[in-house]
Amino acid sequence: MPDSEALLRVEHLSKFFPVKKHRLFEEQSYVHAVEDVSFSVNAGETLGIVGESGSGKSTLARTILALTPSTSGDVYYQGEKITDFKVGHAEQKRLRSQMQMIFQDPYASLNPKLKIGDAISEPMLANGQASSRAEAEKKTRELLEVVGLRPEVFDRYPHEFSGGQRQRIGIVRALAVNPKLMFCDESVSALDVSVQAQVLNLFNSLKNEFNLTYVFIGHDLSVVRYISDRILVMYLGKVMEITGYDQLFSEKTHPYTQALVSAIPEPSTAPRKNRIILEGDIPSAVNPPKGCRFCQRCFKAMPECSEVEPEMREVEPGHFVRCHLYDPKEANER
Amino acid sequence: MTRYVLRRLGRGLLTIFVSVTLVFFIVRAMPSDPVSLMISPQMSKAAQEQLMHTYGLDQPLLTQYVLYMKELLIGNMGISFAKRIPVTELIASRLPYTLVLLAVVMLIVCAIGIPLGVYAATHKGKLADRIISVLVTVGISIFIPFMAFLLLYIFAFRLKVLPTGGAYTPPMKEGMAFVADVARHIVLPALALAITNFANAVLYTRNSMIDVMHEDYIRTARAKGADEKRVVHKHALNNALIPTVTVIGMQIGIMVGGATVTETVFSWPGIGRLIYDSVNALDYPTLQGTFLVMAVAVVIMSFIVDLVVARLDPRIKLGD
Repeated sequence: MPDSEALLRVEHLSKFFPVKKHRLFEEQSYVHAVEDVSFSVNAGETLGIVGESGSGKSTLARTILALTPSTSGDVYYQGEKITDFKVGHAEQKRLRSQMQMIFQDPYASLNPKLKIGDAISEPMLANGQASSRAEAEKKTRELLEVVGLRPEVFDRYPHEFSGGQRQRIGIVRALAVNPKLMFCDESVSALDVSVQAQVLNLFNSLKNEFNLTYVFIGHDLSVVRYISDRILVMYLGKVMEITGYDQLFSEKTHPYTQALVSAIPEPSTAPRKNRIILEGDIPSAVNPPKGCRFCQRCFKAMPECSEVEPEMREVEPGHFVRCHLYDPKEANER
Repeated sequence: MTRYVLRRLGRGLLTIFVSVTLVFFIVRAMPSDPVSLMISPQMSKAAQEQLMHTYGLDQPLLTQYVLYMKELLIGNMGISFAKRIPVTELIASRLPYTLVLLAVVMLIVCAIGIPLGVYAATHKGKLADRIISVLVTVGISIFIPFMAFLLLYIFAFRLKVLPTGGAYTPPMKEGMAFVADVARHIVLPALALAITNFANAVLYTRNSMIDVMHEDYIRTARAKGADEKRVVHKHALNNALIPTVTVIGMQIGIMVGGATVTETVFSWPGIGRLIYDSVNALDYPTLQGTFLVMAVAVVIMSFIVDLVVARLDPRIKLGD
């Protein structure tokens, strides 16, 4: 997959969390939150990452942004290795300003004791986008207007705002440092549907205005699909599929993706056909199943699936799937 | 805001009234009689009755109570049975010593306890944090008189570097020499008193820092690119300090009433020592006076704590 144009490239990134031991002589076990994840993001595109709760989406974003240390693997930004932000101090500041994150919970992610204006000015002052408080304040007021908030909110505290307004504040905070790459970690899932639509539209318009590249994380495929150019499907810490927007509905998708697609609500009162309902829950990430991670819940599981883990395979140009269904050998037999 | 202050004031006065009333009857319920302590059997019957009358002890209990409350309203706390001087004077002469001791203790608690709590929280699980946590648990559970005697034994008896008791060595010196003398005397009682408060401050600061460090907005601050020092001091500590401020503030209120045991062990001439002496002498007016001081201090401090916490936390609105 190495791609000279890629803005961000992730190679075999893993993040294991140690599980607390209960006995003295117990083998240390790990939660396999993110395991051997590779993908790249091109400048100007929006990559959606979907997967159900516990599939490692948020951990992946946090590990890339060095908010938690990685276990193994590498991250490249504009071709340079930046794993865990182990770079010089000046370079670290540059990365912090070029890669920003909008968090899931607009209630918890704003410091309750910091005025909105100060919360937004802080990253500008920390990373050198503004040299004085006055300059930071001027920029903040401009940006507040861009996202549809009145500049007077500058002197108010987070608890005075609604969820949608707070998320806009989070967006302004991220935009304040002129980022290139924006991680949106379930950034709309805490909002109600009408506000979700407003914020998603805001994301789209900001993308054009500020030349942004998004990595958009969500569990709701209908939301992620709306904003993304390409979609990466995660399950239990592993990438199951990377697909272009158009190929999402093609025949050759991963069974898990098919189940997710069939779960998208349709604005119709007619009885749903072809709804794929998965049995059971996502297995424990401490002892992931041998073979394919999805084999226990897959409606197309074959004996082989619980024995051998499938490789990522390119089934169509730019469309990668991790499933034995698309093994060349198997395909020939069928 | 004015309404809030008025309501707090009203509630505070009610608290003080209830506490004064309770103390008035409780001290009189003690199974002993001050008259027998004050009056020597050699006195003539007439002289004894005269003395009883002077102190109003011949009146029925309720009449005494009404009289006491009336006098209290105009600022008269009565005359000490033991010292034969007005209680107000007696308390006024002791209060400065208790306040000085309190100030030194609080200085130790805030200047060392809070930073230590932050250090433990930011090094959670490491060796230093474990050592601090063990010491804090010991500090909270230690029996203070034992600690007081241990300090006395080591520093005053064995090493002979610090005085055994009192607030100064008589005769009283002048100016800076007096201050230096008091400073030498205050070390041990302040240390003994500080231990529990100190341990509490470390514990509260550490625990609430650990909670706050897991908040989402701390991750936001890191993602912003704020450096670690700023994340810890500005984002975390400001939020984590609220419980510590509450605890320390309430503790100050209680300690104005004196630390009876510690002041007694070190013969520190403060309010606590006064309480001890008054209990021994069944000195009702002085006891009532000292407990009144304590009640007033607690009421005032809880009001101040509320104001400070509201100032620290913009989400708290006073007045509802």
